[in-house]
Amino acid sequence: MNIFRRSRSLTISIILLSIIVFLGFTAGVLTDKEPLRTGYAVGLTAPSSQFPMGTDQLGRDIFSWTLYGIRTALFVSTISTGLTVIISILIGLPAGYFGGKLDQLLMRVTDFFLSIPRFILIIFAVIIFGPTLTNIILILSAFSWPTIARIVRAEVLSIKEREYVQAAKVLGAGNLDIMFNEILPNVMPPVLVAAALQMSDAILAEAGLSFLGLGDPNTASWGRILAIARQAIYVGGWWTLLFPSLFITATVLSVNLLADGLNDIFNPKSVR
Amino acid sequence: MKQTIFSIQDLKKYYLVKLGLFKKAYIKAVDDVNFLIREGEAYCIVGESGSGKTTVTKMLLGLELPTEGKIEFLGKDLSKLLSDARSAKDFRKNVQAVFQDPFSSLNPRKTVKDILEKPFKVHNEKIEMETTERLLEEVGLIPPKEFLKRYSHQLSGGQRQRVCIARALALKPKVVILDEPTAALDVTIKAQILNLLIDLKEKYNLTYIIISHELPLLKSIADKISVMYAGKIVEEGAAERIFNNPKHPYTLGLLESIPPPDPKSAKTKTLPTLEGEPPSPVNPPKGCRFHPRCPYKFDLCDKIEPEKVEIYSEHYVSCHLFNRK
Amino acid sequence: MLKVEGLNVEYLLTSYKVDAVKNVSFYMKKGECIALVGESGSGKSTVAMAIMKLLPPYAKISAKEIMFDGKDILKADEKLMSEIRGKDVTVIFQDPISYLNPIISVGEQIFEALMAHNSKISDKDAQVQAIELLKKVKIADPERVLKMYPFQLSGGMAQRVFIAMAISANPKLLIADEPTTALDLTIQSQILKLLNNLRKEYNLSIILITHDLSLTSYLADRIYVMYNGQIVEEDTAEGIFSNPIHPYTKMLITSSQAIYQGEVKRLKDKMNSEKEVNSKVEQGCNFLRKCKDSNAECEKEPPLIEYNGLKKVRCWKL
Repeated sequence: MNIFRRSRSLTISIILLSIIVFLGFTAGVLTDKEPLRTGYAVGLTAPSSQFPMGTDQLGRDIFSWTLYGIRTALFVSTISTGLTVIISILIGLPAGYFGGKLDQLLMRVTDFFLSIPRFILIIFAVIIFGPTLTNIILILSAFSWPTIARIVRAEVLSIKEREYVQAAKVLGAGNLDIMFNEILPNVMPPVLVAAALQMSDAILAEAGLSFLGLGDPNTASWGRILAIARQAIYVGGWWTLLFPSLFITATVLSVNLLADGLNDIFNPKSVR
Repeated sequence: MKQTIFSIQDLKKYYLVKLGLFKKAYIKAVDDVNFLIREGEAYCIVGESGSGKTTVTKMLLGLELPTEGKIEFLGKDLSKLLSDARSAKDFRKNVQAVFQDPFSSLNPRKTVKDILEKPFKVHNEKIEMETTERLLEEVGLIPPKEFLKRYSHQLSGGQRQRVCIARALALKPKVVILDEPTAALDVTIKAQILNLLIDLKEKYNLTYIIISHELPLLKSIADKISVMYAGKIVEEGAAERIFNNPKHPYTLGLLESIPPPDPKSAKTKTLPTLEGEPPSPVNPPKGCRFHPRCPYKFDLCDKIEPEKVEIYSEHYVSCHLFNRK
Repeated sequence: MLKVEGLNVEYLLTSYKVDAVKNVSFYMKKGECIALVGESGSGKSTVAMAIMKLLPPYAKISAKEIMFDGKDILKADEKLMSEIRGKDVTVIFQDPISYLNPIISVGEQIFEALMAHNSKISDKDAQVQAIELLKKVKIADPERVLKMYPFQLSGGMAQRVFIAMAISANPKLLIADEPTTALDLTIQSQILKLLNNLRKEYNLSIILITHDLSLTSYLADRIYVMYNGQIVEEDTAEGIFSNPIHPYTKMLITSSQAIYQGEVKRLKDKMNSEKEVNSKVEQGCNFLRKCKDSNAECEKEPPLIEYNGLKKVRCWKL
């Protein structure tokens, strides 16, 4: 495959991601234990054949929790990133294309969002609206679009001057047609790279929220295991820290490599 | 007398530029330009970069609005035509364009087929299987099936320009505006594209408006030429006369600086040159805008702007040398 | 002064390789101007950059011999090369503005160039020499131009500044890579004249790289016509124009003359279509796919053969 030969990052990230996704999907087969149920063991238990990653103080199985955590992390990050990209395009595309007052207005709003500390705002919003999975997804997207919207706008500014856009105007094509059919496909490459980076951001943000106790209490999240590890680590429960951390690192790393790989493919000149 | 297609009166385009925090100035890109374009003509506008020729075409295409003056298309005011959706579509169908850079005038994410179907989709016209193939044959891309599925990066410069021409011809327009159609191409390809344009013009009785800085190219195709310098037309007339008997010193200088492809010719050995550079469009010289470079200037030239004089029928020169009453 | 024998350049890309230059040999004498003429992608710029060893790392150069002014370029290390590049050989490009640093004034950039060759030069002397250089390249008010930034220069001015920097070290060889392609007609002839004057004044050798044959008629003594990475014809300028032999050279000459005389319509072979030939010719004559009178013999690669003792042509039909 040509694409994989052109980018080693992409190859590694696809392999890593497929393993992670596979583990997430087959969690129900790989373990018969439920992720959040207490009392599988009495107290903190070290990894054994019965509990491959040990249990926490309440006897919850870390292995099952970590595997189901993959689902939460990927679900939250993909949906919120998707929403983020859609919002960014809806704001960046008209701003760049029409320019003038509309551009000024939209970009000032963008600047406002960029100038406030994002994670603190997200925490407040989750406290106000309540820590459900839907809320977390919506809040993450609502505060993440400005960076990508700026990328979209900058790309549109350069692409709208290309002669094929002029040619479409001369043919009599309407503004919506030009924006979505002629310009948007050419804006997508850098946006996809940014989206992949946004996805790793979202994974970390969700874990961070859960760590602070602001995750959805009904879903298995890596951040919550780490919160438990905060105490468990003092009584020798290293496994509560090690395994979820490993998964967070591997997932974030592979998503970042994906961004790298996409960049390699879209800008072949930067290869080597 | 043939039908007048475009009539341009007192056309001006000024751009506001900010110089520093408080200073503002106008770039006089096009300043008081008048001309007529008739049916079936190849009307060429010649000038160096910054002469305003591209701005004129953008206004003719309705991509830019004039600061002052009027453009009439078939007797109707262009700004009014464009304000109404139906007449705007009609105008678009009749006036098409081919741009300079064949690398950026085709969308890199579309196939040739998509690109050629676009005009029909925009105007809600039926596309038959053979339509796009016939268009490709028309511009000499043979076999058409081979080209339909390609993306622009799979075509050579000349092939891309042929696709652009096919796209412009798709809706059977009356007028095709060609902005430097061969500037980015190699010599042998230039000649081929030029020939294609000549043939298509004869076949469909097209009206061409050609913008170019490559004077020699126009010799083969132009009927009328107007020479622009610093936002103004300095000479306008039949192509043959302009080439064989140029009147304005700038036209003369321009023609002289073309190096002939022959090392033995006397002109090659001396290579006459016009000294100096075109003026800044923000602050053009007083009087005649060409006077700082003109070898024939005299006392009037830096004081009074020369008026347009008709020295032959439909041959105008703006130069004091021809206005001694 | 410069002798190149059997130069090959391959670009090794990740998934395939491109033979950009194939077996190119040429020579030039002191004070001579040679022209490499060809369409885009013919390898003409690659040849020049290979001599300067300025190609990207994925380009592989091999040659029998590259001798410049008694120095063996093939064996030269990076230190010797940078000496040669700064002092003996300089290059001017098509778009000088993008080769000038946008945030440093023109004056500073010329001073830097002067300093590179003479580190002991005082500020005052540098100023004087810079103004002298700008006068040499016919810039009307050098004091003002020294204070300007590259974006304030017109294309013609930028090219003059670039030429001034190029001649600041009294080079022996100037490589001009499409020096006037981006310029207007009247400016083009000014720059051509300037190059010719400098050549006489400094006894400068020039390699002119261009796709526009008519430029070479003014400046070049000898012309090498390139097609697809190979030299297909070499002769004196007069010989190329008055007696072109290779079909590609013929095509070039007839096209540019037809355009100049305004008789494009009368071109014998109008080529109003571009037929796509599916069979990829891996071997044989480079020009085979576009040649009108090819035959079976052309499927073998023709050598560069001496013709009439005057020129060399790469074609079987002699």
